[in-house]
Amino acid sequence: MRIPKSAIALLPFALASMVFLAGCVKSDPPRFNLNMVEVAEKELTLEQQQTDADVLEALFGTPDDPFVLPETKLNLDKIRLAAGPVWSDQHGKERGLFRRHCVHCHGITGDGAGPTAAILNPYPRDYRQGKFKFKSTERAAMPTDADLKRILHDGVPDTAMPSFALLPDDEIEALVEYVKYLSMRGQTEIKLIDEITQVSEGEKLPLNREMLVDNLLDGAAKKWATAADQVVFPPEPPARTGSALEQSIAAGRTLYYGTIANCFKCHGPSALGDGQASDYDDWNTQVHKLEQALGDSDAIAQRRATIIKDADENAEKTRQDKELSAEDKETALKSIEEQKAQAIYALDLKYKVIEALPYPPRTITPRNLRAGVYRGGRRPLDIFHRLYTGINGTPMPAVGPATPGGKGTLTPEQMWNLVDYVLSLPYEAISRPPRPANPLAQD
Amino acid sequence: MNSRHFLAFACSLVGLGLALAAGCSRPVVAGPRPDPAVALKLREQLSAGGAAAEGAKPEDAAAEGPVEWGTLHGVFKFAGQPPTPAPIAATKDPEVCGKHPLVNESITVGPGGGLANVILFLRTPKVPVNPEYDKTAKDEVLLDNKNCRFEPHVLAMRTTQTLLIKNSDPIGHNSKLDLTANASINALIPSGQSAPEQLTKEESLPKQVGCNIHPWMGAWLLVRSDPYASVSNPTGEFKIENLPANRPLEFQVWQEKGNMGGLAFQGGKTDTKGRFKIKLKPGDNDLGTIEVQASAF
Repeated sequence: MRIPKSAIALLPFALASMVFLAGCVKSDPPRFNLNMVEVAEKELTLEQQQTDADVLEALFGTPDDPFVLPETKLNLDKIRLAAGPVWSDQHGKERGLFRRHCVHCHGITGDGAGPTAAILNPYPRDYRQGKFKFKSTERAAMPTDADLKRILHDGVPDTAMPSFALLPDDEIEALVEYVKYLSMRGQTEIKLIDEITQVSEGEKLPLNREMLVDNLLDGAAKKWATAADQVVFPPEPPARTGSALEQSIAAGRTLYYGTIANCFKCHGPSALGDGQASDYDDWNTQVHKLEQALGDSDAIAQRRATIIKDADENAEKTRQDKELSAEDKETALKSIEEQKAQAIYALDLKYKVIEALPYPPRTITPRNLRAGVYRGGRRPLDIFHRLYTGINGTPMPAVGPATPGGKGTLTPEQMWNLVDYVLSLPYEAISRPPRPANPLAQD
Repeated sequence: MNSRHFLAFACSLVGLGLALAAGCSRPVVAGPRPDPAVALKLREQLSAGGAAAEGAKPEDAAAEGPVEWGTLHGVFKFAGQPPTPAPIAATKDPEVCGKHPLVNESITVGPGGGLANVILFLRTPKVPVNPEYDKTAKDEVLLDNKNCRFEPHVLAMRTTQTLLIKNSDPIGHNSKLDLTANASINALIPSGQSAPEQLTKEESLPKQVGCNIHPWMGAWLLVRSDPYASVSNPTGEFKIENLPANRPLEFQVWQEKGNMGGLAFQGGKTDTKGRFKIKLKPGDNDLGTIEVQASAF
């Protein structure tokens, strides 16, 4: 049989199709990524990374098969509804909610590094640090379920986070539980990595209940379980109509430009959010610092050369050492060689991790208070919470007391004055420049 | 092969290239895959409440017997010509901050080459503490915002003590403490006022303190549950008194910028992480002059 020439010509195309199809038919189930920025920063060895991965899988399972210990106080049924691949059962009940609605921005690990992250400003939230900005609780406390539900229901104005108000309540609740699950997993990992680095040389992290559950998991679990006890309840605002409101706004304005509250330092003398442009939030700071410490390619090459030179010199000294026995010498040389390899590995890993990040660190912009758009909500109560506790994970400081019942920088009344002033800013003349006179209008 | 065939061939080659390239987008660095068998075994052990056998038990430093006490001291020196600290331009509140000569304090070398602001602290947990330290257990430890910098630049405190963040400047400051074990703090400190903070948990390493209004300002704070930490003074000297003697102790040397691994002291060398183990003798223990090479930074 004669094979037509065109068939031969199409052979690469057929191959290409096979490559495509192969990608669709068989792929590994999605997996949780390790917190590689943390791993690189703390210079974990491959063996330590394996411990990190194994412990996390033991405590939290996989994206398709999540697991939680009762100590987490999380509801595994709700988590299962949100986890896994997207499908719907015979009753039409939606499954795999996180992957249907959230994963493209927040990523499978909840690290805020989904495929769309690179084109969004601000970047999607990375849950793993357990830091949430818009909530009703004390600064460092976790948000309550109601806080997370509100974000899902309302979305976050001026960001890519949409409203999921159309989802039924049980689906919202499942997603809230899954966000808590991912966050708890991330917090546990950060603490685990810290514990791994704290182990003395030559010893291993004890993988027992005391370390993994009582020490690591419980810390994160308790924070979430006690969130509802740490809600900030402001005192009733004073009556605010007519001249009382005007007085309150005037008092707020004085505070805004005063040296006690110092609002204008970051939000700018014009309140356009142009006072401080070079600062980073906590999520971006970590990457920014790692980048700075690593330096450019010349600095990396130089550091690598120093590591090799130091190790070689050290080895040479050991070889010349006449007091050491042949056996000791061999052990010492082996350890020098191992340390050298690890140092180079750690250096390369930092570079690789930064290279692989889907987006560069970005500075944080103080809010433009004249736009009338408030990410955490526009109710006076929302603005009060932003002022009282500051915004966790950002440079915005707290004007309320650091511990409940303590004395804050401002009194609650002064905070209400500032709330009134902030809410009045979009209506000030400077926010709404006068229109040019209508040339057609005749007097 | 005629030109039509060639075109088809070329097109399909491009297709193959695209298919291959699709699989070779930005690499994902995700770390090693968990081992399901290991994870499952570990989970069973944890759920059953049993203790896994793996891992070494830390040496018990709190051995019995009457405790004798020793002092550990030494000097950190910068080997060679110290770098000139880079000046900082006061871009915020220049009318106040511009009056003070501000420099980068990440490497502070004093007269005679002494390396200041290096912390030496005890890592070994649960050691007996000398009753002498009871006197200072409830003290206030001051962190002052003064002349648009933090004073001191590096400080160590105990979990029982109170951190008093003060603002001695005529302008406002905020103090952002990025803590790990304790809840993070970002307090606004108006001019002339101070804020007391309780930090009840031990931090494994010094943590950074910053001021967002004046981004150049920075300090480092170490919180420990025992009193055994010392920050080297401007001449590079450090001293920890009344340490428990005759038992294995582990210390860590830390400097904000440098790698304190491989430092040679009298009787040993720090490991890659700047740690070393030592058994103190009662009375005086001198680590001698510890030289830190410029390549460490």
